[in-house]
Amino acid sequence: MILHILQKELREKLLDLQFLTASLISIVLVVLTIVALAAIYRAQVADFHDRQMTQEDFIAHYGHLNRVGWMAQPIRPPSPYGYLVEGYHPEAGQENYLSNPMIVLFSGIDLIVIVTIIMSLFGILFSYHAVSGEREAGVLRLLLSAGAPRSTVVLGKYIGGCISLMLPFLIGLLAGVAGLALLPGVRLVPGDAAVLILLFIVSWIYISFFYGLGLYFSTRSANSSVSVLKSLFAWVVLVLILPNISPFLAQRVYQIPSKTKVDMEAWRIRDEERDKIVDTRAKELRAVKYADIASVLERISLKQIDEDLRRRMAGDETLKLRLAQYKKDWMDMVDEVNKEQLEKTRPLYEDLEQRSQHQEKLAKIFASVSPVGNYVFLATDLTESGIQADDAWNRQKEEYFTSMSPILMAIYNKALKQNPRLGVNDYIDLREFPRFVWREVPITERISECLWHLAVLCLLNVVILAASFFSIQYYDVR
Amino acid sequence: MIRIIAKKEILEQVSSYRFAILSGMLLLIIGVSIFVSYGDFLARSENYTLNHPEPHSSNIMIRPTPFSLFAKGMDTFLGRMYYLKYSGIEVQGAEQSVDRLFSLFTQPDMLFIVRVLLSLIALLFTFDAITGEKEMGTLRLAAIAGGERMSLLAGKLTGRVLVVVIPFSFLFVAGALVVSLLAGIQVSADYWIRMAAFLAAADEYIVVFCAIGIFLSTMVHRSSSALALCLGVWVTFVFIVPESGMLLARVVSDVPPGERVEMQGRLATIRGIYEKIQREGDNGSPEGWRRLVAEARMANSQLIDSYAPKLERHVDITKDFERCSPAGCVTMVLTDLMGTGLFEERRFKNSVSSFFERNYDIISEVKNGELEEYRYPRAPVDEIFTSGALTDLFILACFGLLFIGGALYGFFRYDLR
Repeated sequence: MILHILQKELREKLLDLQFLTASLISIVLVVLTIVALAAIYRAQVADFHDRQMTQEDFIAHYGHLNRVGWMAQPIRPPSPYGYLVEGYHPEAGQENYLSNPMIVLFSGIDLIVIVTIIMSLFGILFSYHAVSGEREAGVLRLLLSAGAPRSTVVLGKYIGGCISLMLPFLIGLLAGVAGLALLPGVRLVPGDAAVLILLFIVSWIYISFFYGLGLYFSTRSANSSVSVLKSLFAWVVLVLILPNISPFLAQRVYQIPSKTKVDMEAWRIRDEERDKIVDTRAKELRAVKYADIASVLERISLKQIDEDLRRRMAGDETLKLRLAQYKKDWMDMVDEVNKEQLEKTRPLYEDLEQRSQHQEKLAKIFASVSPVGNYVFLATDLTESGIQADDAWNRQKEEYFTSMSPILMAIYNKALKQNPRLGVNDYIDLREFPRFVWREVPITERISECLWHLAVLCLLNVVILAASFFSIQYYDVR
Repeated sequence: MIRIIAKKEILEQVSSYRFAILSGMLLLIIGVSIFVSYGDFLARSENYTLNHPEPHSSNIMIRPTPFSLFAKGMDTFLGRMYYLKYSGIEVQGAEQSVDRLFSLFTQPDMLFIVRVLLSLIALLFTFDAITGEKEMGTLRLAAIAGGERMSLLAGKLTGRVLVVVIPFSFLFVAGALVVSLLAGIQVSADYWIRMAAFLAAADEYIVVFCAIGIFLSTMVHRSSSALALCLGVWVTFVFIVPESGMLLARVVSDVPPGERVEMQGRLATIRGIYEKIQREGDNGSPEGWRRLVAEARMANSQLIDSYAPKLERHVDITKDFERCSPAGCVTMVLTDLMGTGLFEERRFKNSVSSFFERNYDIISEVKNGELEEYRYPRAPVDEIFTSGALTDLFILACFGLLFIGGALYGFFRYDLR
């Protein structure tokens, strides 16, 4: 029986003019978006290589120890799946004075927009009358009187609808990817197939949910005009409202201090508080170890160095020695205080980091209540264009800066042996100096990190289908 | 006649199920929007209080505007700290790591409600204006009773526009009133002028989408087809055209990313310092410093001179693409009116750049003296209108007229049977 219903659904959908129009639109949109994004991706790759070359060339001509960290800045390559998903756009943060402002007001179209907005709306459009429409036409009564169980009717409609909805998306995706192979500058590797297949499966699960949602409301309404309103209301809440308010809600529910506030507190500890401690300890040092030259030190600290004192300091070798000792002890003490104060600020930043992670996690949990949140995290993580990739970027950057210091010092010391007069501002050959190389997050790691989003999406599908099964049992087919 | 039909439309719609559900949705969303946006505004205001520089400082920061509750636009970025240094102007990074999530999602502010939801609501109220009556047979009756097609259409349009405009206007005014009473919001005559301008532009946008809905209703004979068409047009105008416009503008214009420009500026500064030290040693003369500063300034100017026109061209091309859809127009006009749009961004950056130029010698310590006090009043409404908002409003009006004309044409040819 289910096969008959499935066949009927597929035949009806595939011959329906509205459905064919929608399919055509989605195919054209997917292909055009992939082609346009591929053009941007190629420009980004070219810009990335160009920037690397410029930096290399600069280091070759002006390399010196003092500003290596400033000139050898890590450059992030564009996401290898930039032709599909834009995700977290670096310029959206407007980190530079001359950043492109348009990105803030209008985000570009990509696969995420097509799937989350357009395909999900198609899902609703082609399911809201699945049951109520058949009731209105009298077909449902005939179907049930022919012995079809109610749950089979719903299951057949759900499977048939999901298959027919995914066909245009699959065709568009395949055509777009095939088109990429013809375009110069975009290289597809076998590993990409896994990402594309996963992305397709995730998209299918997402769109199926919305087909199921329309179906559910269809089983809850006597006529299609009410069913469409309810479905659209649910769609607006799930697609447009819930995911969009989640970061702001998390910000309100779990408040953390701003980075500036922590920076100011850290500055107070490292600067104002340090100066006071240095002052106290210097006094102690003078009282305990240098009581014999206390009056001289007092005058020096007050800058009352008159001719008499200058003569004394020049002629008295013992005083000179004591002053040198004091200077060394004082500098050791300041170094120690600096270290202590730095240690005091560390927990502030660790705490901020930890609380930021909690806040972000909470925002992600809030967003995951809606299928859109789950889909966005899945799609961006799979294509290395989301929060996970950004975390990896920040981590790798930090590792690079930490690891480069000893290597850099070794290169400098080697050069110093050859030229003992070499200063930190003098040219050194930095060809051996390791360059930053971005390491992609392995696909297994990417999948394992976002598995729970996939689980939530699957669960939402099961829930909506179960609700439809339950609802059809009490549906008045007359 | 028009009045009677409009009255009938209003009464019919107000007592309908969809009016209850859509008005309820609007009320809920406006409430959530104000709650969420106010929290965000408070966080930014606190940051400003903690962070804002002294009056004669070389750092610049402007206060967040309460109008960002209605259209956040670029206010987060306008309210960041700008560090003016001899090597150029630097911008403070993000305040909280959750900011990254904001780029994946959109803030549900009043602009979002107008642009996305209100347009959908307008279409849902109008898609069956003609087809629904045809299906019920009342359209034929109205024609037999002597109703002219022109009057029928005008009455329907007026009635359905009012059904959307009145509840929204009421909720918007209530929302504006609530916001004006919140702590930290300073209210002046300017506040209410901007609110009135916002409401007027939003209502114009509603009229456009009501006209689209009625136009599409005259194109087909079944309400289900009209609904499918309306949703298709809604997705096209609200999502596909504005977001593709951005994509196309990026493909068409060859503007390099801001990161690249920043890198070139940084390398030019390092080269200047390096060459100075090679010439004069680490403790160079004031003359050497002056030369370094002059070189850094020239390198930065050249960089900006070569980049800024490209960026401006890119912005202009994007704006032209965006103007192909009412949603693009309304985004630009409402953000501009609230002082958080592209016009304000350009105006503010021009003001920062000119302050930087005027005070460069003092900032770079080539000259001793006190910096000017930086003041930045946001653009007044009249300036916003003359600078481009009127163009967007005019384009919106053209969209409205086009679809009203289309509806008239379609209805005159419509088979009432």
